[in-house]
Amino acid sequence: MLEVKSLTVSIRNKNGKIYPLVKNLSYKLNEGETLAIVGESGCGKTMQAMAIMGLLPPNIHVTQGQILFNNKNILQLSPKERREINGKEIALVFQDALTALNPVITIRQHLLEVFKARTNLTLNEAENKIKELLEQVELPQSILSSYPHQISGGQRQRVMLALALTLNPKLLIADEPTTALDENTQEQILNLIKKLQKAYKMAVIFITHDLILAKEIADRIFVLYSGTKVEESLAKELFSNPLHPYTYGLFKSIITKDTPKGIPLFEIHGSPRGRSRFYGCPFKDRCKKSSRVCYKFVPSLEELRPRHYCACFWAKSIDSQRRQND
Amino acid sequence: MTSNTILELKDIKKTYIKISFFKKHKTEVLKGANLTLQQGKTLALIGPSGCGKTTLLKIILGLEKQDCGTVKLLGKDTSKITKKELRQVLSNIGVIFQDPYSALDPRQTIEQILSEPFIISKKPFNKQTLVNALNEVSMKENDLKKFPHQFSGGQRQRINIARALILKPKLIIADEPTSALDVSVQAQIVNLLTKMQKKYNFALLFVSHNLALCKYLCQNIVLVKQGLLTEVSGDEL
Repeated sequence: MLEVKSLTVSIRNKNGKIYPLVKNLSYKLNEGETLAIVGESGCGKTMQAMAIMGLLPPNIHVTQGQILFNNKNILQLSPKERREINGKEIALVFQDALTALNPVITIRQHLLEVFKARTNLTLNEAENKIKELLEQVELPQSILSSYPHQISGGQRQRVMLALALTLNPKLLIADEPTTALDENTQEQILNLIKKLQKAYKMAVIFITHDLILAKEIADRIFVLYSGTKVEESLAKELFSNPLHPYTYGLFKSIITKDTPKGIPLFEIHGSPRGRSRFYGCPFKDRCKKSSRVCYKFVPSLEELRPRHYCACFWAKSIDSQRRQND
Repeated sequence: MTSNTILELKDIKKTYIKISFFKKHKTEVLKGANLTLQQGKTLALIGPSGCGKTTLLKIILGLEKQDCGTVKLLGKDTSKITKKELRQVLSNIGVIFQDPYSALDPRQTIEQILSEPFIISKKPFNKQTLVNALNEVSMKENDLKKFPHQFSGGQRQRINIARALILKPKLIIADEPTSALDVSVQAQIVNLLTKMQKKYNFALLFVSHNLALCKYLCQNIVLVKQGLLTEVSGDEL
């Protein structure tokens, strides 16, 4: 359904120099599948989603690659053709629902706006559709006359979902839809996305920095680091067997109910910023296993276990060591 | 009350009244909250959004007035002391806010941000004090000249922590300090907070949604539910 082929998204700075934000990213998404993209802030998760939607900021461009949606390269479409796809075929749910909704119009106006702009429905038909939509996202009808600031964070996220679903899209991109919510509401929204996915037979790209959430919702996960895909696998396999030192570090630094008290948490030292990420392995400066090879060459993505890909020179030895221990 | 009690809340009640179209809507947020926090201890406040956690913090910080009940900070009842005394008492509290992006003034340099607590509390300081504060949170001297937007989320939260600790307070209030951060950065910040607490022995009032984090970090956990505070053990979570 969706195929991203060696996509590179770059930013042009004030001096006219071009730096890549997403490097050579390739992945496929089948109908009805859920793919989670996991990574730290600034690793390019949102930028690649914006590239799919055609919503990149003015100084950021796709410099290489293709995005095939139903075998059509959407990067070559005219703005008018692109508009036909956005919303109807691909919908996006933004991270912060409060800033994504217009503060001066009611929820009814938000929903009506979409029907007015994109369909030929009469007002009555649109109203009936809105009622159905609200039932789908489990919101009361009374919410229609409220303004965004009058409803809770969870309700706002439900409104965002309703807005995304108005035109029955085939692909839903959820960009950290639960980050601003508390644990209970997070779970409710996740369950709702799962339910809606089944009802609408949609494919979902779930962007998050929370590995546990990714495991709960996704069939497949890939880990992005500094714009490069460093590991990809089925969700369960990734949890039981993380091969890349970065993924392993992410898992180890999660605090669970069984984390022993008093012992310092596992940290991945440093931050992904700095120029050295532009040559060799992007993770080399923060990796305990890095050696000369990591500084000279960029590791390529290799299939080390069935459907488990990893881009690290040391992953093979880590894997064989683990197999021996097993 | 023992001598090392830093914070004591007794029977705090708060009702918000909203008037719209000639009708009065009353929302009882706190219905008699009691709480004590000793020096060097960590207490977690947990509860769903809108349960009254932030109201309680506002009352402790004097940003909101309670309807009834007493707040004792360092043994002094905040409603019975003069403004000058209150300011002195409040300089013993450091606050770390949830969102590292909006907690720092974008037009101030880190040097200005870190010197503000000294200026407000009228205490003397020099550049070395600011450098030391930055070094303690693993940042460098040349960061003093930079602006907040030049740092990552984790670094900004480190600056927040440096600012909260700069007056060597006896109580730190951390309002979901890690919820806007990634897992890896969260671990760095939690480790930094525990290290600092061991060094300075301050009391920590930690507000969070993350139950596992509260269990890891805190000796006591208090659940805010329907305006009442109930202590729960970590195993119950």
